[in-house]
Amino acid sequence: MKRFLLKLLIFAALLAAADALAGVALKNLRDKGRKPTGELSLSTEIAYKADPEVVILGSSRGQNHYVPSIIGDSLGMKCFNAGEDGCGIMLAYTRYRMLASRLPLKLVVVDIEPNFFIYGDDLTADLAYIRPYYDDFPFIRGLFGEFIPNENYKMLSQSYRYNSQLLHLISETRYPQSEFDGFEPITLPASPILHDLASREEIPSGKVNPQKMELLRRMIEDCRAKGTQVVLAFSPHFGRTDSREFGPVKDMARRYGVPVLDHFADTTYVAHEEYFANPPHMRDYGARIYSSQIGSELKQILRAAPQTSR
Amino acid sequence: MFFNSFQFIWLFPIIFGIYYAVVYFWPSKRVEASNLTLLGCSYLLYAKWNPVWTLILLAITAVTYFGAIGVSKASLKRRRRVLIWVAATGTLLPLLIFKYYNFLMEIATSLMAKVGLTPGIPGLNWAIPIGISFFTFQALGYLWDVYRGRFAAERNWWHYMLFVSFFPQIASGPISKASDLLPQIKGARKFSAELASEGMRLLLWGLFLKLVVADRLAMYVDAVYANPDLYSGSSLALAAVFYTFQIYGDFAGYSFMAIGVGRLLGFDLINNFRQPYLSASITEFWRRWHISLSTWLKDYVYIPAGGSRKGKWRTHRNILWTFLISGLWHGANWTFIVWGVIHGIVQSLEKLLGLQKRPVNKPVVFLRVIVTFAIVTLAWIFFRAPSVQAACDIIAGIFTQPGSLYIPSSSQMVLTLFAIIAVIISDISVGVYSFSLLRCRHTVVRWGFYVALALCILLFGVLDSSQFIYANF
Repeated sequence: MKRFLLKLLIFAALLAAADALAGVALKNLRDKGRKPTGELSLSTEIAYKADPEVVILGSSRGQNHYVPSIIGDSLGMKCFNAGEDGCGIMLAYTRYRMLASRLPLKLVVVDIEPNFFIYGDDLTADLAYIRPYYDDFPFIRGLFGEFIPNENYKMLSQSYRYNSQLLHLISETRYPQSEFDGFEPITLPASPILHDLASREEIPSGKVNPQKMELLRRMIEDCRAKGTQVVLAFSPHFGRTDSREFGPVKDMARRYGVPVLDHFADTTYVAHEEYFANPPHMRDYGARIYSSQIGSELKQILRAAPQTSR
Repeated sequence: MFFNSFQFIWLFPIIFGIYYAVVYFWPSKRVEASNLTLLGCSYLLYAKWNPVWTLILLAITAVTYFGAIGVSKASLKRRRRVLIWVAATGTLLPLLIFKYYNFLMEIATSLMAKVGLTPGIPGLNWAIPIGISFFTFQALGYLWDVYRGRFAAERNWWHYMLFVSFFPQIASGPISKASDLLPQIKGARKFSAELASEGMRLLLWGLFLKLVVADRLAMYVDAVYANPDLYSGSSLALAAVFYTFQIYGDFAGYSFMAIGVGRLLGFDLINNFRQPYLSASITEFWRRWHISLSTWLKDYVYIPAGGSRKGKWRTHRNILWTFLISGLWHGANWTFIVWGVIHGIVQSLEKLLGLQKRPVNKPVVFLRVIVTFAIVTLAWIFFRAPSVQAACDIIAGIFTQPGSLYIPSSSQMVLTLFAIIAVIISDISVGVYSFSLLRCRHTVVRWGFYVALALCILLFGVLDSSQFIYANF
């Protein structure tokens, strides 16, 4: 028995050493990531380098619909698009906190995607973008402890922080250094079966996830405490005639006096096939038109907002 | 408690510690003390899923325990026969109610609707107790062994209770025979470093199969099977192949972990998988896949029905009958029945054509392995699909649906292919060349592989404690 237990201890020690070494190597790779809108490059850029005054948060719809240069020009401020394909409220909140911890943000625009921000049990779907920054942002430990049981114990492993990310880490270092603002334009033509796809979509519904709503509420509260203007946006969706699924978020916005830019079923956009690559996503062409309008609306909101000093 | 859960990491060392501490501090009562410890742990762990289920487990234990004693005491053949059928029915009743009631009522309702009757039979909305198919068959096997005189009725209630509820195997097997497990329960088990080391190796490999292979493949398979009509034929074909490896990684992974945990506790449980996808026939496949179930079906269904001793026609009937039961055992859905029947028909054809034996000619073996793999993959489509119609649509779609191959992300595909290649290399290495890095005699290589495997689990494993497929059966 003693010999067996000793072997177990030796194995644990060897694994811990290999794990620590792997962690160092992977952290090194993480910091060298340069691919514009690469999965971890973007997260690293947001965590340590980006210095916007205006930040856009959201899922792929956020990433594809908001052109930072157009919005930034409209507002006379530097704008960064921190949207991510599949980004849920957990990641959006984390990115906001990362930026807010080192920058005096003036405006946060949150593009709400109901499946990721309101409904569904997938709160932990985008932890892969959060784990690599665990050591550098103490609030992440609190977030895990509160919302994800046992995750802090798993984080004792250095290599676990990069779970499923090894190939991204390697591939994202092979790009030249370049400035990127997070926006990812869709250059594809409109889908030939746009109407068919739109007719087959299901309206998100079901039980509202209270944890998701709580994270959104905290973001709003934090912005208010820091004097940052927060705006909730529902960007256009082809084929939709109303935005009923956003009900819980509209209620929250009313409660907290947060402006809402509801263009989800705006016929200015949703009646135009040429603006969309597929029902939820606008092409670059449509995104630029939308961003121009959003830029003007945000300018009005900022003008109307009471002046607060940080 | 599943072996891939976070809870297992801290709970099992405690169980291990208490178990061997009990053996150390009570050497004179080591058998009773260690068995009671395991029994307590088994029931507590089972109760964690649902305390009510422990009553089902206890009921099946009691029926088979007292049934076996009654059968062994009865001197008259007629009385023995009555007792065995009463006990067997009582044993199967919970399984029939929890698993098959809704299915049988659906069939009855649709048959009655054909003659214009609409009785409105209410359905049952009860969750199926975890592992009920496994421990029911384990207990039933014991009962029949006693009836047939192959095994003496167990008189120690506590030993028998542990036999039915033994926690490493209760959720998804392997299904142990009384002649294999009860003597180990009754015997004085000493800690064996060699057995325990082998247990750790099996645990590690099982975790790799489940977390890196099965759960990673599941991401692709679940996406495609959720909306098969949206994917191209090549994507459907790939999903079918992926599922073949997913279910292997999932089930074999669990089995290896269960056997590994058993060995850590000093038990030698039956090996359930022997590189099944290297089989050159369906007949051989069932000697390598879920070995404990196919052994059970052979001993308690096929042979009692006559086996191959009653002429050609009855042999084929018995094969089909056995696979029909195998399909039904897996689930209350026509898809499982069709899956079982496919295997039965092919095995029957192999017997008819004299193809059961593994050929000697290597190119022929290779060809037959590929063909067997294709047949198994085709059958798995029925196993995975929600309905027979959906399965048929998927098979048709493989050949007719246009479009390009669905690739969720290149990194995801690379990881998925890495997982499959790892399994294929490992199985060929062990099955063909009898070589395994896990058991390599060079210590540095062996230990290097242990660490590499563990690192792979941390880097590539899906670590959100997902369910095991066979725990639903």
